[in-house]
Amino acid sequence: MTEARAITQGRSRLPEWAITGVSVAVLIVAWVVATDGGFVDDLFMPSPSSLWSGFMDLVVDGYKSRTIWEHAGLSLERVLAGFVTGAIAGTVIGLAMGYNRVVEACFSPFVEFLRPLPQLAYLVLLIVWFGIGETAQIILLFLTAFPVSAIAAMDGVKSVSRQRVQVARSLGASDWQIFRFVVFPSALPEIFTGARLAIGVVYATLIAAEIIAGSTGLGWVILDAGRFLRSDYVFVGILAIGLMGLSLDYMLVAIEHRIVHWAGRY
Amino acid sequence: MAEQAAGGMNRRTLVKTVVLSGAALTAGLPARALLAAGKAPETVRVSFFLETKPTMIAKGEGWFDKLSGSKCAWTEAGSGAEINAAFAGKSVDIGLAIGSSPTASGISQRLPYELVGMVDNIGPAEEMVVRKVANIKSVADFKGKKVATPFGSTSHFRLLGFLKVNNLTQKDVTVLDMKPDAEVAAWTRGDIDAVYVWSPAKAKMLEAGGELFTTYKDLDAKGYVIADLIVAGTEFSKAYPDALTGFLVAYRNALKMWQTSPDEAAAIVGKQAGVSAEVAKHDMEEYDFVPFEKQLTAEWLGPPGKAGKFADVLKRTADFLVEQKSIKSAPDLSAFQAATNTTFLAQAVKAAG
Amino acid sequence: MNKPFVEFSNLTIEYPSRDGPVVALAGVDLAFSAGDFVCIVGPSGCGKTTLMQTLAGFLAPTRGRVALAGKPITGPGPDRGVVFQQPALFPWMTVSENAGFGPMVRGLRRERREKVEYYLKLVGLWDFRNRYPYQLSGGMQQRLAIVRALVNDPKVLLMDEPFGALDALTREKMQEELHSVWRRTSMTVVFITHSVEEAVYLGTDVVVMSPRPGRILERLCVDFSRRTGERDDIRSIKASPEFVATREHVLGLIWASAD
Repeated sequence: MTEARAITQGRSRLPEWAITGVSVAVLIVAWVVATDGGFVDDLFMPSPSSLWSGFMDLVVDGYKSRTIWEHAGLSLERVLAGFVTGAIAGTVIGLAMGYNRVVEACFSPFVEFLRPLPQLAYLVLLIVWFGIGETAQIILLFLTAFPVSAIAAMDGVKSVSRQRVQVARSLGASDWQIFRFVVFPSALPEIFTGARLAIGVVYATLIAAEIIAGSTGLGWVILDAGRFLRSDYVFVGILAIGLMGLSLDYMLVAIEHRIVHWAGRY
Repeated sequence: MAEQAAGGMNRRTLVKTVVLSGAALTAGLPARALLAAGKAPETVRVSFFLETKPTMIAKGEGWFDKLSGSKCAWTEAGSGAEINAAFAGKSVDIGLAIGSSPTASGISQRLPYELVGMVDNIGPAEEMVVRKVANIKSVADFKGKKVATPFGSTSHFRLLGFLKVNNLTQKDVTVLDMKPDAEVAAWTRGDIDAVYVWSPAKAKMLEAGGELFTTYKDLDAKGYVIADLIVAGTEFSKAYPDALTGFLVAYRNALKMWQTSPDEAAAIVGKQAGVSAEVAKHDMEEYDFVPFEKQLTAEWLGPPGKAGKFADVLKRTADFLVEQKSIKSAPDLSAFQAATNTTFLAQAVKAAG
Repeated sequence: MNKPFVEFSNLTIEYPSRDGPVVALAGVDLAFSAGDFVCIVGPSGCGKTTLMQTLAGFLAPTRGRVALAGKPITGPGPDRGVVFQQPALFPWMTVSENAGFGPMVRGLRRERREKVEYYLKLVGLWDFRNRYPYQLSGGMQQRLAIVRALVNDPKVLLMDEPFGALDALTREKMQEELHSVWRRTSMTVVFITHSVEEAVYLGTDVVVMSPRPGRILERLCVDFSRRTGERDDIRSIKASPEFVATREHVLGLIWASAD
């Protein structure tokens, strides 16, 4: 049975990228047929041509007093600022939480409480506390990335092999050295997983952040265009946000492969 | 439509309905007309705003249900854009008190609805509130200031009109997109200098160190009229003209109550909206609830078959939205005139006598 | 034996559990001299790993004491190297970084370079010094784990079933290598194993333990390991009547205790 399957698999084996390419191509063809064929109204799904003209429009004239690049740049800045600060702070606290039960007992109620909280719930409070500038938006993104990274780092520390710690200790390593050379590297794969999750949730929160006091950013463009059912702009915005997110994820994966090349291989 | 009725149907009826709707669509007939067994549909799906207006009397007292002969299914909307989206998705029959600027954008985008009546002329009810300490006394004082408004709303339209009429650009004034509750939060901190919005946010900011900067008179005179309207899905109005007329009669009765016994009306409205009767009364006094008879004159919607000046307002609003790059294009005036259908309004006046 | 190097006296270890305390070791008395190769055998649950963990300093005695060179053990230390069944290497470090971990954390830079080179060459890992552990075979990984302990110059090498996860051929080769290293350094080794043959062949002393509660059944002094290190002789030693008799005696003890 296994053999038979292995043989058939071997014969029809297409490389994964080709399968992905075919699936994307099928989707695009279906899209062209549905929209240019007039089966679906432009309000529901813009045709490729209207999407293209919408895109050119945004590139040439911009959207409401800023070019699309400016909007994208501002969003990227916010995402990076929120993600980097949130992931670093989360990782530091998470490592401490995993290493020390007092720290864990101090922080875990906040981290656990914060994580599932919908951002829209405390949006108004953030404005009251931090105003309507970039700070409130970045803090919102920070608060999104923070608990995800903290929990990942804590789990990473807790999953450290006891034998490795024992070996290191019996070789004469101090507490700090054990942390530096054993616990921290052990937690790295999980820290990276946490970072990828964090950038995902930060991205998902971008729209909420840019509601705070809008008029800039891709998230706001999507929101504002949506108010007038400008589905062409909405789609361009979604594609731009999606591609940006994908590239950030790829970058993280590339860094991860470089740094924790050993993960899952021992 | 089919998906609405599905709630109370078993699977077989649902299948039948879907098949029938499909058949109706292919025949080029409105599904609703074909399905109409009696004169009134089982349910009327209404998207509305929870606000302090006489519409809440008719809702709270069940007059809408009684006079339309149907059960009204109420869905609260957060913005006119949501009502438009619901119409695009064919999941609503009547949009109650949708603003004129989302309506202009909806008609421009050929949403399947028509303008069948007016709730109010907004007038001074939405207005600019400026922070006293910001010392804004004249138009020129707005330079370099931060003004917040909910984008896509009638207030936003008025604010942009205000800037245009006074030759101010968005480089002179920073215009921020904020929801009313966020505006109050930012106002409390002193992050914004002015807002263009409606109550209760407006009232709260007036209490918290704000004062009115009157713009509506000048703007109304220059054609930047804003109003809250009643729109109905075209399929619905064709299939159930009587139910729609009954719905309008219910609102007319509510308006009458507000005019004849305002205290009683304010008490009901306050209860519905969750505010005190005094607040409700005060809020309602700011609006100009145009009587149906007046709506039917050329000044407003016009008599059946002969759209009034309000179609021009919608056309101007749509052109302005195009200029703002909010919508792609605006149709000719005739499209707005065609989308104004006061047949039911006239029927409602006749029915009430 | 008048001056024991390692000494367990009246050692009792109890673990708390839901059904009350579990006695892992009950009053163990055991002592041996520097340079001994002590093999501990016994069925699962006889407390042999607990015994080693106590000597390593990972576990504190409930009662009694453990001493090394006359001093009671209070925690882990570089004078006792440990090797587990799983190599427990640091996968984020290269082979030579793994090997030099002990001197590195102790700040002995020059020793580190010399010792690492010496031991890696000794076990044939020098050519792999810049590789990562996941690029090595199982036998090479365990060799590296042993090197890592040896580079640190421990007085006692504690090994908990170090060859348990290796195939039979690799296992015999490793036994030989360990043996030759031990002869060269005259280090003290405490070696825990399931394999009676391994214990009888490698040890100068074989300690047989019985389970529930863990205690010592018998201690045998053997000298097969001192006879020769010649490769050709392994098979003949293991087949000699004397060796077979000793092996069968130990096996018999374990069988009897496991009933």
